[in-house]
Amino acid sequence: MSTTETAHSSTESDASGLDYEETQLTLAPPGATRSDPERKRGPSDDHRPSDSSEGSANKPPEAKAQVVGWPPVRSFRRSALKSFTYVKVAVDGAPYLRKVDLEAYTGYQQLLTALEEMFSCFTARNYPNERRLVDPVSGTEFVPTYEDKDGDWMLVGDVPWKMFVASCKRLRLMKSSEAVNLGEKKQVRLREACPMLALGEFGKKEIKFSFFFWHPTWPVLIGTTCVGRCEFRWCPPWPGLADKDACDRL
Amino acid sequence: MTYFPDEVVEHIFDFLSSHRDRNNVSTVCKAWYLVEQLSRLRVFVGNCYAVRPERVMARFPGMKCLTVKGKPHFADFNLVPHDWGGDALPWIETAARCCPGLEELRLKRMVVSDESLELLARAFPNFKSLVLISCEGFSTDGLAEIATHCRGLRELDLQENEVEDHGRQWLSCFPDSCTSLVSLNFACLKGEVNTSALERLVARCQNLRCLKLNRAISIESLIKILARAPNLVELGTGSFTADHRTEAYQNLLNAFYKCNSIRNLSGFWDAAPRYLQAIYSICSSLTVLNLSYAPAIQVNDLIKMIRHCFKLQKLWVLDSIGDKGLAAVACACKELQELRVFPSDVYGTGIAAVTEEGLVAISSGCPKLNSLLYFCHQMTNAALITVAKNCPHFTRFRLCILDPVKPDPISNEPLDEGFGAIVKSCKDLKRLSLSGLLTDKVFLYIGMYASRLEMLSIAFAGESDKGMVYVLNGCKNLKKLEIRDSPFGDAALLENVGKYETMRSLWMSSCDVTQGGCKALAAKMPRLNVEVINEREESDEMVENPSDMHRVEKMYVYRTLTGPRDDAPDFVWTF
Repeated sequence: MSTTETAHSSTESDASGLDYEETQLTLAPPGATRSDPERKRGPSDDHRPSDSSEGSANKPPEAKAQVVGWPPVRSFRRSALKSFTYVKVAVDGAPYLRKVDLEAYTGYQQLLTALEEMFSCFTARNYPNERRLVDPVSGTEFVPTYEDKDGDWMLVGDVPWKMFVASCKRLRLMKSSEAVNLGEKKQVRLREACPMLALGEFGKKEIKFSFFFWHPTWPVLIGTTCVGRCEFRWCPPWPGLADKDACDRL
Repeated sequence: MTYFPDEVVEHIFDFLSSHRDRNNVSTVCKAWYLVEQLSRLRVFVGNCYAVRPERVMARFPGMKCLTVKGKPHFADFNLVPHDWGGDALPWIETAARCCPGLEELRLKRMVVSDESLELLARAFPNFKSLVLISCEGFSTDGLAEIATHCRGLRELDLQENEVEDHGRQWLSCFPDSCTSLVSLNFACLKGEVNTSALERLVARCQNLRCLKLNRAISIESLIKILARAPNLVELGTGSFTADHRTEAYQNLLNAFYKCNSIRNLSGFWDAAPRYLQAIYSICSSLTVLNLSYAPAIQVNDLIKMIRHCFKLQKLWVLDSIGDKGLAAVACACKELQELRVFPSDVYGTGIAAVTEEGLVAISSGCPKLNSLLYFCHQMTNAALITVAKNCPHFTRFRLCILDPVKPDPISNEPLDEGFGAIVKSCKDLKRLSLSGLLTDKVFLYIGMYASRLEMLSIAFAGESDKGMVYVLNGCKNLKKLEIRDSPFGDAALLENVGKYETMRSLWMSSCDVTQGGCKALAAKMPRLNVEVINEREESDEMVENPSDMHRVEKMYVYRTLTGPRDDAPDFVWTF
């Protein structure tokens, strides 16, 4: 079990520079032998009764998955919850969508390989911090993006694989030309609630925010604060927002 | 002896709604038997192989509502082979011949073919209600037949069935003249339906009170449907996600604002947090909330919603709610009677979600709790003892610790004392499921204290035959006993053979019962069917003619009036 997880962590290090296992909260001091990251509570694996007379008491963790009908969950419910890991995949310009089961893959590389095969016209090209797929005929590059649980469109590859599987609702292979600014952030200084200046052409996707500014000539800008810096993106006018007063009240 | 005319006796029997009471009065004397049999309208058959359909319908010619159950409970967990039996067709065919006035049919864990549904649709002119629970074998073609031919249909309730999708037109088969629907539940269907046909159907069925949509229905359709059905009492929301980024939120808010009769909510398959806020206005009137198919809802949004649900009586959630979420439920839902916490990660490899802490919090916050299904990662004796003290009114207590033989993690002891406290304190306990590390002692307690227990589920528990014997000798109201992976053998099986005629059924799989033991039981008790299920992977000389010493993998014993069934597949041997 530990060898497989080491293999995972090396894949994820390639992906995001962030080792999933290293960021897991554990009870051990840093650098100590890693205990099972899946058990945040309760005893460590060593705490099983080793002198029990029952043969079945010392089942190794892997055996759990193979016990038929355990845990006792109706097959309807099992298959319904399983289907939550199937996500739709759309490709800009392709006439129909496909579906993939994210749990069938162990990492981003496998997923991209599968997408490559599925849409059969791409070859993968690896950039240092991104992955792109290329249509060899037209030379168009595609960037894999996904919609997460909050409804936001994100670049594939930023978060650890497991986190991605848990939050991805659907995939879209976006033409590079459209996606070029998805990852860009510009640093600006906030000037006491005065109208902000547009800082140039940004990506078109909406992102959720907590305050608005209105300027008579610039389109509405919306922004949010996070610790240490502000990120601002260009956004089409928010539907229903007719005037500056309404905006200020929000 | 005082003499009452039959009409008076019949009138008195009208007040008896329970099958048990009716069964009891019919055994008092011949006169009462005759009055009762002619006046019984609702017939319940707990095991489809216990009696032949002809016999049932001959005895109850006035039958209007029939309930039949098929496969054993452990079929839910894939322990019963696919074609074991439980076919509904013989029941429907016989009813078509003998009871054409049938109005309601409820089937659970049965195999229902499209052919059966077609017959059902055409043979009963007054048919009003079809309820199928955990059934399989049919497709949307069968549903189309029901929709087309059942004039005056009031209820079509499909709960957790495996339905093959043959296209989306079955809903359009409800004729324009159909205005009688009161309840429509197709939440378990995987495919698309014709949403405009659905909207028109909802609009013309002014008496519709229960509508449960499937995952294919988006928020846009839901909004239109709610506009046409503001008097709904029960709603399954569909996917609860928008196809397009429109002003769905505001419209949704308005739609729910008008629906002030909703008391029962479910669905939320893909719910995004921003849409959940739209239902806060109705949360305070909810009595039933089922979020167990909503893995997309995060804990904090769940807690925000639950805070409004102070009238809630029944809550089904996933274990992603965590102990923290359960504490919030305990604070808010003082009227809670039933709680079910399902595992969100059924393959058991995820992060610890709920533990004994959540259950203890619930027990102290919700004193009216009487029904529990709880999947957790660990449990302690101390917690169970506290729960037993806080909630003495349990009628159903099902605990499933995901690691099947896990002891109390603090004391490292088996959970005998904890479950012992539950059975001792909860005198009305009817249903119990055990898990965790358990010795024979827990069964001693169960035999001693669980006098009202009717159904007991045992898995990976016990040390010797004594455990099973304690239960068989002690629980005088036991009706169903199901055991898997426990060290009970022939001695236990044969200790009290008369007991099985007082019970509906006994299931034992991966225990120590042998072929010889089964044969001995069958020989002693001719009114039981002792079925042995032999699944063979490759043909094996030894297995084809196994000796009496050969361990039996799966055994199903049930009382019956019919003798061995004639539809048993070749891998089922009845001794």
